[in-house]
Amino acid sequence: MKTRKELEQMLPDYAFGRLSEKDKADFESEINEHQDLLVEVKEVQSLFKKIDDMDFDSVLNDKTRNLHYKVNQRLSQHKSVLSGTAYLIRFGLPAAAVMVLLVSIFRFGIQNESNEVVSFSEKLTSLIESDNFYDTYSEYYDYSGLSTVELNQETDLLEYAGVEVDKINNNQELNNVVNAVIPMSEINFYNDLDDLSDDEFQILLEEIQNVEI
Amino acid sequence: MTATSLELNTELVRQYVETGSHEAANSLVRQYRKFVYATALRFTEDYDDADDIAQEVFIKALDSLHKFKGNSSIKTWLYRITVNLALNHKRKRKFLNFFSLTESKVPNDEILVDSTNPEKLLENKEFEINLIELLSRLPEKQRETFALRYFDELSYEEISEMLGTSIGGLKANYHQAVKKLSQILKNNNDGVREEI
Repeated sequence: MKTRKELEQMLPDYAFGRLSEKDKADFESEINEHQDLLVEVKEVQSLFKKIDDMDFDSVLNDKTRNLHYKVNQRLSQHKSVLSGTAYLIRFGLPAAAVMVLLVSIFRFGIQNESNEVVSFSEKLTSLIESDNFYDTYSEYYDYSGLSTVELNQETDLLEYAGVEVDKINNNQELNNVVNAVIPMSEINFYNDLDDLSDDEFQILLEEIQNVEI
Repeated sequence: MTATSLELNTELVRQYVETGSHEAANSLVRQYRKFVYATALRFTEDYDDADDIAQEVFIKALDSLHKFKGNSSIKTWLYRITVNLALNHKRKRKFLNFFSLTESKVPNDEILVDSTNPEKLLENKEFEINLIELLSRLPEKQRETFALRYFDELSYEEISEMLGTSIGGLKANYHQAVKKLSQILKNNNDGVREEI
């Protein structure tokens, strides 16, 4: 026994002859109980006759007759454009990326390094050339935890190493200064102890004993 | 779809993917051209646009045929591509029309060339225009269900796969669509009688 809703859902397929033999028999055995649906079936069949007669399929056939030809044409155009694009993607983009990378490394990397050197050397030059070089220098060393005595020792050692501190004007010499100053900042005090004679060492020990720590 | 046509399709797909054969591509286009074109026409209501979209659909489909896994039928796959492209096209046209960058097309402005009887031609032409206009009055789901069932004669299972609607829902939609179209056709007939 089918419900009215089920019969309604079967109605269009029955009207257009699309039901299976079994469903058709079921529908026909029960439709008599719903006269309004029977009327609807007849109305649908009569109204849709014109659509059935129209042969929409032949209209579509006419409209799409050359479609495969147009598709083939566009497909070959599409492929040639695609191959150009593919070539660009495969070779052009990586090459461009490498170029950009190299340029940026060369330009910005060198520039930064150069900036650092220039700014440090400029700073050092202005420090050395200034009247209060020793005061400023000592401030730096006080800041870094070294005493003024050690600073003076370093400066002496610098001059002893043949570097004319007052006459440093170019980068190469400044680099020499940098190279000379950095190892000296670790003051070779302990190495100097090796050069002391026994007497000098004894005097040093006596002095240490007098110092309150 | 019969087992034989399914096998034929699988063979065509394999042939095109492996060799890029023009014959295989042509066979696929010929087999589905009317279905794709009719679907596009329902969405665009314009023959030229439907033609453009149908071409695009096949280009896209052939381009990505190697990705086709066969989880659904080719028809379902083509239907989805067609609907997506047609909707995009419609949106684009609406946008351009909004800014008046292109003229709004008057749909259905072509004349059928293949008919020997001018009276029949005119009658067919008028009704063809009416039919497209008629279908456009239905909500999209009802229209698509009706067209796929009535014109394309697809099974409810196939339509369900295409539209993502349950079979019960499709049957209800189909009945509603037929009822509405009957009403519109009836009104049209009455209108014609009144004019006469």
